[in-house]
Amino acid sequence: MENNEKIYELISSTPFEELSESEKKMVLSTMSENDYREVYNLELRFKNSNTSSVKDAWVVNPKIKLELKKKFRLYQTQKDKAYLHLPQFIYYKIPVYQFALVLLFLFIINFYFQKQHVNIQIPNSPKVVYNTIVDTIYIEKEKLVGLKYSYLKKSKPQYKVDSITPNIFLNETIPQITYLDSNYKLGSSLKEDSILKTFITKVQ
Amino acid sequence: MLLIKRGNEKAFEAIYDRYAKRLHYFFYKMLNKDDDVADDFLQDIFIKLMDKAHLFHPEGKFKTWIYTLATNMVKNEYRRIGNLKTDRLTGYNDIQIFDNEWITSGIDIAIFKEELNKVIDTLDENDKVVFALRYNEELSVKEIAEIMNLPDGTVKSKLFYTLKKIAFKLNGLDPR
Repeated sequence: MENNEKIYELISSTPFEELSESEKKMVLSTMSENDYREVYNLELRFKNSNTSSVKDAWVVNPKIKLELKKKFRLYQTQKDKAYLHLPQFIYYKIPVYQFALVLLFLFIINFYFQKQHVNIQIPNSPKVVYNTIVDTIYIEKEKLVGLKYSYLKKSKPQYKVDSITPNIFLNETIPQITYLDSNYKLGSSLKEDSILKTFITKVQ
Repeated sequence: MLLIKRGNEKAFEAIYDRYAKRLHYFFYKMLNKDDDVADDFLQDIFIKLMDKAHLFHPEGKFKTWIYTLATNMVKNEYRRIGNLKTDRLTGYNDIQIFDNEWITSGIDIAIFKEELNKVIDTLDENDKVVFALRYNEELSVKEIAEIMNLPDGTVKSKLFYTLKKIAFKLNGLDPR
């Protein structure tokens, strides 16, 4: 490729006889001496063909010029009308790189100030934030399987079933116990507590 | 161009007078020697010049700018024709650039010219345009590189490749 460029320069300026030894060597590595002469002669003839006299004598239809002048005038009036309706600063042109620099500058300034504000921003009042949390909650329910009893009054002891399984005993008040003797004994065990002993015997 | 941007009609006229012939000739040669097509393209390029005057940078060269517009129009036309592929328009591919003064008369010359156009027809659109800009429009390699948005070296390589191809194909036909 580089050789072609150099050979073209030589072909368009120097006949083979006038080439230096190194130039001849370079030319002969690409083409023969005869080929060089052929191409050189052809280039010379094209170059000397001198088309300028032909162009000078060339005739262009004069209507084209008239038509174009008319269009030029029309174009200018349209342009002037459009130009008058807009403020002047719109027509002020700046190179693209200047516009790009301004944008870059604004971006950097914006970035810098945003960074500055991050540290000094303190909320004035606590904010209520509602978060919807979906989770699994295990609820433990108490299940009564036995009797519960309580002493209502020492003088008038009465037993009540709060809850019992099965449900048939629920809220059912046990009938008043007939005391076997008025000198009953209270105790912490079944042996000592004669009333409890009597109750259990009845229930069974 | 600055004056044209400001709406100066005389400046527009001066540009037209300087480039109309060259551009019309360029379009005529590149687009199958059709006078009507060249007229249309000439009108279009000057309308583009009005519309796109703001895209022209004062530090750039006007000649390369206007040829860039012209070359793009020609390349688009080649593509459009290539996509249509109708019989009516196949002649567009027959680019006949070289009917210059040095080829004037004689049967050998006619054969040479025909063969030359056949070879040029086998080039891809970029090589064709580069070649036409160099030897028909007589632009420098640097200007062509700017117009085609290619490195100088690539333009030189393309020109060398095209010259070599033409020289080998026309070997013995050149009526010197």
